[in-house]
Amino acid sequence: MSVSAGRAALVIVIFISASPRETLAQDLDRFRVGYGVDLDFANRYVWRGITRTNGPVLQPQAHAELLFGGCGLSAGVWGNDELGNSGVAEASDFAPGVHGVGEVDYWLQYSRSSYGIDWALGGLRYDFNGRVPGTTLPRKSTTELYGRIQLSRRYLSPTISLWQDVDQVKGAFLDGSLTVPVFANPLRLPFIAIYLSLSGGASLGQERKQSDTTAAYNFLRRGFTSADLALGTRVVIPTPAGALRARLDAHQQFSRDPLTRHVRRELSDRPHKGRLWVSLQLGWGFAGGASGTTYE
Amino acid sequence: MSKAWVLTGVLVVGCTEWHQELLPSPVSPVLPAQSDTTLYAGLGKADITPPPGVGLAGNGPEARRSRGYRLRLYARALVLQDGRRERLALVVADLPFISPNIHRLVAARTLHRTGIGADRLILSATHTHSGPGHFLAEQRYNVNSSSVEGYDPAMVDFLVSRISEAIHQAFRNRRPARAVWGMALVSGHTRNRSFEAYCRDPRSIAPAPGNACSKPNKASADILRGAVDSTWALLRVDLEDPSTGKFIPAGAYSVFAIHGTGNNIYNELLDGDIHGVIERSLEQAIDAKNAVHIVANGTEGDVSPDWPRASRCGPPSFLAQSFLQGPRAPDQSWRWRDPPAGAVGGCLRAAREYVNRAGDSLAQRAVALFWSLDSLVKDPRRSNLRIARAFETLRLPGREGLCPAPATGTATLAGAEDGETRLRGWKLFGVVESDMVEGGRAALGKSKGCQGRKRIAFDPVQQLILGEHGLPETAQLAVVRIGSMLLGVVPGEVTTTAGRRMKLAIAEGLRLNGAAADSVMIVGLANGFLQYITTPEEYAAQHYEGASTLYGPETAPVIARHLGTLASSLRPDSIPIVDVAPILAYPGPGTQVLPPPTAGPPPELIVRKILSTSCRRDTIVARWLDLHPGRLVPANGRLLAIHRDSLSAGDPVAWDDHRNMEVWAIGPAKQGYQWEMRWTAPDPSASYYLELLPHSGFPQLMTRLVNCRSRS
Repeated sequence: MSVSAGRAALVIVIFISASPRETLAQDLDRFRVGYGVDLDFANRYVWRGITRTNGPVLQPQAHAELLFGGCGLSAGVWGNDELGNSGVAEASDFAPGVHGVGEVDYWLQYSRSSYGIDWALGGLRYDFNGRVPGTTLPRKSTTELYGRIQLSRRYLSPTISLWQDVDQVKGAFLDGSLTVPVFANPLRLPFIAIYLSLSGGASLGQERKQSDTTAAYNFLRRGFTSADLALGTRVVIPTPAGALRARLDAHQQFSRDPLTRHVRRELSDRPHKGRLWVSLQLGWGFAGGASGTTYE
Repeated sequence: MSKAWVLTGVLVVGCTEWHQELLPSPVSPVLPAQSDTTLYAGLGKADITPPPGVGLAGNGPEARRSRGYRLRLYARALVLQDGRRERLALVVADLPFISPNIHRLVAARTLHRTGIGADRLILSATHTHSGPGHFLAEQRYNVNSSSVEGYDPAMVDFLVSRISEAIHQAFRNRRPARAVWGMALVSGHTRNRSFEAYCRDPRSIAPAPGNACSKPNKASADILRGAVDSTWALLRVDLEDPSTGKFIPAGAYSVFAIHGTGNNIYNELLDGDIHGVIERSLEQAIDAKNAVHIVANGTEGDVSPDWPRASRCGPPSFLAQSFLQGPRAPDQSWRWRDPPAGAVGGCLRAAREYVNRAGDSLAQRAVALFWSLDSLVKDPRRSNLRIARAFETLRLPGREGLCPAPATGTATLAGAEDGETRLRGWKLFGVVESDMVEGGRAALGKSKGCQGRKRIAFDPVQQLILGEHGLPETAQLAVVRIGSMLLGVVPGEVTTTAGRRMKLAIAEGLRLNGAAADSVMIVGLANGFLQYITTPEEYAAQHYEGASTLYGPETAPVIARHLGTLASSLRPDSIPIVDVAPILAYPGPGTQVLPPPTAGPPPELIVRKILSTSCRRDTIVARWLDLHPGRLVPANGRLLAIHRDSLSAGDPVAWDDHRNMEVWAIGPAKQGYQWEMRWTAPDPSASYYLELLPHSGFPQLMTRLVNCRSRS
């Protein structure tokens, strides 16, 4: 290892070990049966750096989870409803003048946590109703299996996920993120936090193959696709009828793959290598269930 | 002006005025002298345990909502009347603090029946951090003293009526008495938690022992012992038995400096803490049924109980946990997270064991001191005490070098060593240090304005956050003389060195010589609450106590000066100062926190029954259905008793005021509210019976408890 690489590794170790105090994750000694429904409004839908809908969307979802003895089983369904008729040039799952539910996803996940590492294995089914942007071809529904690891005891919480498409795209996608809270309201209510996060991804086979140009793909190039530096805030205000959530993020996106460079339908528009954009998400969620712990 | 504008104006003014309360100013009447030279004394005790659901105060926003109780909370009162009909009520409540509204309202209630007004009432708190809040005269304290926010006028009524009852009881019970003071040094149970700040006074550690200040672990035992006030002062009270004419030991009033922080911040039970054990143990030693041991706190500002490290788990941390987070779920992984429940359970268990152990050990010293006074108390010349008092109400802002407005420092946000907050030592990006520490960056490099080296939290908008009258603006000071002992009464948490200086000021005020000056004690947390009072040197270090000294570095000198003046007015050639000036309280809008007496269904719709008995390791657990908290108020009477072998065999071995028993309010159920008792039996081989005592028209219920011997 070179000196600079060694220094970089040392810096990373220091950052990762920079925790305000020694604390373990709390939920592991508890049991919980939970469920929830959420309804989010967002000003756009960006997936793995690709602007899928450059306009307002409604994203309802429902989930349920069972937690016991350090293991968790959870499942959910999520949808993306494009609210406006997409313009000719806007990125959208639909043809111009059409709107509706472009995507419904189902997921099932098994999780464990031990020694400060949270990991999850799961499957995600994408059901698409729209078309491949810029074409009249229907977007083919597909399925991915995934694994995720997060160091949950760290102040800087690194997460790495690997997604393997087992249906249409036949490739993997690796993404990682680092998040650090800049501020969190220490008082009980409301929940207010400001984060800085850096995330990025790489295509490991989900790109267009030269050998089979008819096969489905997510990216045009292999390797690093895009990175995103975001400064954002989350506010959660509990009410008797559920929690109101607001999330406002300012993003600086650095793009390499051409599909992540466009916010519009036509690839012929002027692509960006880096762009600053803002995402706004307003949500409402209700969670129920039962939990318990005994201080014995 | 239109009618609508007039109406709006009236409403606005009305609402504003509603948050401001003029407290009564009950001054004790001058009672005609009598020829009798007998000392009279009476003792009283009233249960002040509120229903679970109220916030525990003392650990700030880290403090939890109460879910039950262990050692019940009491107000204990001693009323003294000397031969000149000078009267005094010495009252201590198992509460985190006392507020001037409670002091004045209690005095207003007791004035007419007892002749005891505000100037003759010394009402202080043990400072248990496991007692309720919601009653304070200052809005900010009602918001920030617990995770459960709010000022509840019902809590004020609850406390005032019950504390008054303790005084009335003591007054009714007064009989010819003999009383005598004893003092002892009790070390080994407390430590100075801000040793570095304490060291700022060069006289504290003279001769200077090298690096002892920066490394208290290396300080000599003598220096560490000297860093706390180890003096235990105890007034033993014997009352005449009307049938025999003999004087019988009846109770005591103790002053000792120790924080009420044996429990940690994760405690969810109302509890008397170490003071609760000390009170009960001496009562048990004197007369289990009737004795009253009142334990007032002294100069405990920087004095912690010497709790073991295992009793603390650290505060909650802001951490991510994606454990159950699905790929399409809203990101809610970042949360303030407690340590794991198992770790918290271990800390709570260690804390409870420490509270019992330390309480027992301290009580042993009190018991020994009490009985060592046997011969003195029998000497009528030594035990027929005379009483005097001087009292003053000080308005603080801008007075004699004090700051025009109160302010807290960034170290206040960090919390004290006993109850660290989640902000303590917080670092931006986990790397860049903040000011929320004790000492160090919390102190400015040089003095700035009247707050000196205090780095004011949220400067320059703190005043906006606190509100115009968010923190106290008045202090009620008193000096009382009971026999040879002088008590300086201070509404705050006085540090060891600040207390020593106040004692000297009182002694000088009375022109006492050095030996007599040793008979001066400071009763802290009395008649109000100003947070902390440090010396100017300690203040400059900006530890938690200095940052929480609201009116700047001159606070302690000003208070010491006034205590000296009050003491000088007690000289034989002077007239005692009695200044019970009006006080305005600004408690904030009223809200309901104390569960109301109408909570849940009425008794006729409740099926009171025992649901189960089981074991959790060596602990016997019993569950039953009863009234909801609010309709069921622990202070109204005993709830349950445990009998050994059979229900008819003598007194119960325990009832719901026992160190090894916890009563938990579990939650509403179909036919009532579910309650749970957890009790560790002293003899696992014996058979025990649970008796639910009759109340609210419900009959007595009983069951045999499961034996947990095999699991211990």
